Amino acid sequence: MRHLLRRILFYLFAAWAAITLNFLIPRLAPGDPAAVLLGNLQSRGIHVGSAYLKAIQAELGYNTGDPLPIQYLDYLNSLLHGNLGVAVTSSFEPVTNVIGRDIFWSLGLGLVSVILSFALGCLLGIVMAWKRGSLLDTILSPLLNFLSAIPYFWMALLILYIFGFELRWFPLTGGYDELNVDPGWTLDFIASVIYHGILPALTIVIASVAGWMLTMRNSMITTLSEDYVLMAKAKGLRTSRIMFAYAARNAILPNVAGFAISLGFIVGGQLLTEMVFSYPGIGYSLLQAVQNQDYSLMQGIFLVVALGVLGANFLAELSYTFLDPRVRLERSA
Amino acid sequence: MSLGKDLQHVATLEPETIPSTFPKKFPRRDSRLARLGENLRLVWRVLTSNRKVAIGSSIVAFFLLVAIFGPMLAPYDPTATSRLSETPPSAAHWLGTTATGQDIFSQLLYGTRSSVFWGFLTGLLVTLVSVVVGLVSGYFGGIIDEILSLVTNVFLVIPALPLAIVAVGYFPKGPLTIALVIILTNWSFNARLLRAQTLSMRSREFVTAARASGESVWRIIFFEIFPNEIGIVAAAFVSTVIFVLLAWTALEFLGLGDINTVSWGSMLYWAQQSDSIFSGLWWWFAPPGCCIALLGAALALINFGIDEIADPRLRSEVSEHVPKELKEKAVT
Amino acid sequence: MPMTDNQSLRTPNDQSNGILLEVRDLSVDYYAVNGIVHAVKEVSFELRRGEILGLAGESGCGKSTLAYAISRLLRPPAYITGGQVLYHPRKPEKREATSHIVAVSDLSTGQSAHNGTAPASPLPSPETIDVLRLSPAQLRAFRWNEMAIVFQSAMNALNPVMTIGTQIMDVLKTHCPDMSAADRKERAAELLKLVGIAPDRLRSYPHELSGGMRQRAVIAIALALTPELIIMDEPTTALDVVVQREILDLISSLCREFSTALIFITHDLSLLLELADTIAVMYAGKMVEKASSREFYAHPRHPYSYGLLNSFPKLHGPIRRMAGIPGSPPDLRAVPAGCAFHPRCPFAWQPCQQLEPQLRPSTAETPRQLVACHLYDAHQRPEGPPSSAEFAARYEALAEGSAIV
Repeated sequence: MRHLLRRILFYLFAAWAAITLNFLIPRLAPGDPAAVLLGNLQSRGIHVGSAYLKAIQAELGYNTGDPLPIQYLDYLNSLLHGNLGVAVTSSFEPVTNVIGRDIFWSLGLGLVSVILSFALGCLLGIVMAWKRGSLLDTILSPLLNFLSAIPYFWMALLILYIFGFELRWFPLTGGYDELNVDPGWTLDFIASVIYHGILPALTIVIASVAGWMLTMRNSMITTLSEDYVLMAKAKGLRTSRIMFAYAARNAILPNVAGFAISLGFIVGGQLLTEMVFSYPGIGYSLLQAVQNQDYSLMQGIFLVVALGVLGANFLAELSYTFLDPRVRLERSA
Repeated sequence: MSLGKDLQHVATLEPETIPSTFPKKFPRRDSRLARLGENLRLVWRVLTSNRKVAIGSSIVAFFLLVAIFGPMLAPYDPTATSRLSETPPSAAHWLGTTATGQDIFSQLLYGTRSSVFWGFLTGLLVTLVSVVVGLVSGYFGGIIDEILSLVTNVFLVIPALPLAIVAVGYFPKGPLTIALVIILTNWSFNARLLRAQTLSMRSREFVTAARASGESVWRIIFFEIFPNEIGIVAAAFVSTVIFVLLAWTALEFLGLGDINTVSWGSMLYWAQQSDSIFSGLWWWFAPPGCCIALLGAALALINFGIDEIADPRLRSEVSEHVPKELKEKAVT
Repeated sequence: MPMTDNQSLRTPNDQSNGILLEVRDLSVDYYAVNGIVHAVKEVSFELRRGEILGLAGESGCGKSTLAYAISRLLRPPAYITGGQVLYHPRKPEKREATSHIVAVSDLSTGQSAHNGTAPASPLPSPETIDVLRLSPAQLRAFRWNEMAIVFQSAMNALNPVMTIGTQIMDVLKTHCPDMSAADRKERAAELLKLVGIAPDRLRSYPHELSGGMRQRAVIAIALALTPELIIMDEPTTALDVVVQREILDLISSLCREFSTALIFITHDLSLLLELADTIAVMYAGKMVEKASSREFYAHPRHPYSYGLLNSFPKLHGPIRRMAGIPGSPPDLRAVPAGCAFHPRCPFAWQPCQQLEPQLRPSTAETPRQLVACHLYDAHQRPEGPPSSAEFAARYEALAEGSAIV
């Protein structure tokens, strides 16, 4: 139990650190972001009242007479009440509304892509290690090495250009066909969502699969030379049993343990992918926030993404303790 | 950027696991310079002995050369506009022109200088921070280690790119801001790696001896321990440059960099701003991305090669001279 | 291949039903990056039912490679380059008359549909199994039913993420598909009891057991199908002395109980003297001596055997200066010509550097004690082999010489 408690405490601390960073960054910045924002709005012909200006300034820590600790408490208080400020880009809608609307798109896309790439990567890694030195191994290894070095957004551009623009197999933008389909649990809508999600998901899977696969391959090769795999062979077990229950079952542990670091990168990549595909997730909102200096929205999105990633990491660690009995022992000790 | 996982493999690059290429132990009171020299010689041997490392470093060397001399060969001023807009690749414009008639080949040459320069410089700085944090944390142990490890682990789990986007948004646009933000968001991985390495090195003979002879703590850390980790630091640097390149271009692509300098990232930014995809201008957005991918792949190749040297089992090519009938018979 | 020389050692008047395993001229090469290494060179021997054969030699002499070759577990870059491994399975009545009925073409599934409870073994002929020619499916059926293996480190031989129980029941599930889950569990508990582990340990993971317990568990797995042959590769090396003793006693009593034949590999000759019926000594990939334990202990014939036997202190007898054999085993990439041992041998003389000695009966009085040494060849040394005293004196001189150097 102590191990689990320590991990919970760590993730709580990490969450606090993310929240505090989110508070500190605007206050460390030189100049007055609120003024920048205001100038930006005015240049687009949008005029805001002085009340709004004051609210935005307070949120970002300018022109408030309050000392930093008080501001911090205020900030935590509004967080507790689910108040992340208003999104200028989205006609002064509360940031929580914007994120609440977008998050399901991102979650859906992210979950499907990460699960697909993890499963595919591990499976390919297993096969490549098992058939080491085969054509598959010698061709796929360098190819995926190259793929893994491609920036997500460029992969997205390429895929969008080839399958969307040139071949016209898939739509160019959006999360569903807004002209012909109404959101709802209808077959048409679901089909449209899947149709629109294929290219973004493909981008994420292609860009992230190599990481899982190469780790799995190397880990699997190391595992295959273990005595317990040799003993499984000597026991006359079926090949599939040796491959999965003895070798892969152990080889997958580093991939699960490294999930945290990989996930951070994949989520970053997903945000960029959504931007390129104008996918209605939080990545696309983040792009708009960045382009319009919509600081509240930017920070809200960072907070949500950071907390989401922390939560996912915690779940990954939990699953690790189930996958590796040795950690379980440590935990109960 | 899914490289996180495979680069983790570099984490196993401990001297214990490296059979012949890296020495296990050094003479107790060898001259430090000689030790560093030995390490550098090893790096050179690594560079030339493995095919992957050799290919990777050749490509990297090519990019470095283009970064240095490329702009001198550029046929046009990369920012000069012309009436020849959106022309596909031709003899006059090898890679075509942008929407404003700028020569993309010239842009690529100049962009390589900017991106490679900042990529390697920032990579160096990130590595430097990792080295300092990792070595200090690993050497001192105790409460200093507890705190530094905690901070390291927190930065490891907070997603780097969103944090970088938020942080860059508040500061004046420019390469310095991006460099600082990238340092802030990317140092943790290698710091953890080097901490573990230092921890295992702390109790080695030569460190004990140095401590006994009254050398100052900083001298021990940076003149006794550090030279022994140069191999790992080099691998860490290589992987860091990949991350830095990817993060850098991503931030520039979002328009968070100085959009008026010519770099791979800003080229992609302008290409995206001009909807180059929907005009079919593949020659605009394809080359910079290719360069990033190629340089990144070359760097990754170097690290895979180092991994293979450390653990020969990972090689995909099996020795060729085994008679075929033996292979066939050896079904187990 | 110089078969003729070795042919003679298979004593012709043998009642062949007593023989379980015949290894003929088995050779294994390592295809290393910098050349071919002959790890095992034309090794021949035979093993009777229930016999305990001790295989001894310094590390790198090829003893483990030989064991892996026999069980066909060699991994690249090691390949068998020649020879035969013949296995004579139990008589059909014990086998419940399954194996000889099953046609080879039916074997592809690896499982036999025939028969009820007995381990179905789709092997080509009940008389003789050519182990090196078994198809993958036949090999799977052969494994563990007939031949089990115990690895050096139990920690590494057990799957760390699987309970001991599952690892035992895995064998039963594969080889006895008709066994019910409850029966499997009962059998697994029974096996644990047999090796002195409480049956509630079935649910334990390997890391929850002590080193000795783990090795016991591995032995339990090896006994799961009561094979006729178990190969043990240094099964006690990783254990401390007291536990080593317990495990050895366990192995010894279990082998006698089930009359299991055993190939026991070790670098520790002293273990073999009490455990093994027969001792074979290997050097640089060749078998240099093979004799019953008793004969071997009384008169080690090969100078190398003599050195090995006297490399550990004796409780009785005069104190010797000599401890071990000076020098180290040769690099297998550059094995000396002639007798591989000659650079370290206190008796080496001219023919040793040119002629490779073959395994042959040592003396007229001990025809079953085989040795590969020119000292015992009447053509090379008409005056006959040296006496024990001479062995001791030569070695002592060698030890003193090396001390001065």
